[in-house]
Amino acid sequence: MGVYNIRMKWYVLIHFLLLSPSIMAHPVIYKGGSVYWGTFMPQMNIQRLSHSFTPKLAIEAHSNRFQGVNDYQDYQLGINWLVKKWLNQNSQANLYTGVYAGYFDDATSNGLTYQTMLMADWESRTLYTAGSVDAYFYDDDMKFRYSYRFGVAPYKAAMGELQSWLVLKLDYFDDLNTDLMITPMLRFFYNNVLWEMGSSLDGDIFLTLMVHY
Amino acid sequence: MNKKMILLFLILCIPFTALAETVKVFVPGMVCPLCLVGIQKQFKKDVENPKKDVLLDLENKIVTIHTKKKLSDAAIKQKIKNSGYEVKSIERVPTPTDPNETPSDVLQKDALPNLEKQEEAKKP
Repeated sequence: MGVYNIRMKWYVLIHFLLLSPSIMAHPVIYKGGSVYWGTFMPQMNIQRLSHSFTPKLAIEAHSNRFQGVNDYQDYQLGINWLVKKWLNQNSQANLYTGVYAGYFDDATSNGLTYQTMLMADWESRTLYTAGSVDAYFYDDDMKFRYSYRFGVAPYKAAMGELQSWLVLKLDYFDDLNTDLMITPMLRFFYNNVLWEMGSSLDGDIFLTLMVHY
Repeated sequence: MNKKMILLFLILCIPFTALAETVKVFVPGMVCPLCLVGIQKQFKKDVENPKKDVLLDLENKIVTIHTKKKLSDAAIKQKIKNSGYEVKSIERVPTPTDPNETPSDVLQKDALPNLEKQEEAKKP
């Protein structure tokens, strides 16, 4: 119980720390917009499908698979909420949260699982930073996944042009890694498709595909 | 007789109010070409071809829209809001008289206003 309380305090603290700097693309987009978002690594596979009913609220179905965490696999349904958006002349920042519930299965047990997410980002045409915390509650346990990104665009892309980014991604997941996972990657946007390719310093390939429609 | 004349005048005015129009909308905070996908989707029913008639100038944060018929400021603001952004100003571009011009010709011909100068001019 004591360990649980300490972890809860850390969770709250990190939530607030991440309000200023900020992770990935947006879990809530334009009204009527849908997104497929797949992240693939040897030890981690996350697939998400969401639909935004308003520019502030989206429903999401997703599946997480963490091979390193006792072969954990879940299927969840939940909502994403754009808590706050800051629009400046040449930049924007967003704060999102999400809650999900579903079914999990791992090497030793199965049952109900819950997840919460907090994500914040700031981006201009040439700089990009984002951070997120995901908490997974299942089997009387709680695990956290932290992610932080910083990206630089080598040029300003105009409408209809390929947009490119050089991104450094830092990840930490309870039980999955004993060390911080550092992944340099390339990120591209073209029309409604985003894709990322990289490799962690340990040699693990990282791929992301995101399609807006 | 006068009433009939007024009615005739109003009827004659209808086609002019329903004419196509080009609007330039200043939308701060747009930083990537992906922003345009949502805006094109919101104006899909109001334009002939969203990819040609809804254009984005990221440098000046201006969305140029050639609509099939005139849209009110409130309607434009609502559609931009549905895209996740806020309108700062709307400028209506006079419709060209040359019938041979296509919407794309109009958009390319119209030079985008220098918004910084406009902002400066507004300052007291």
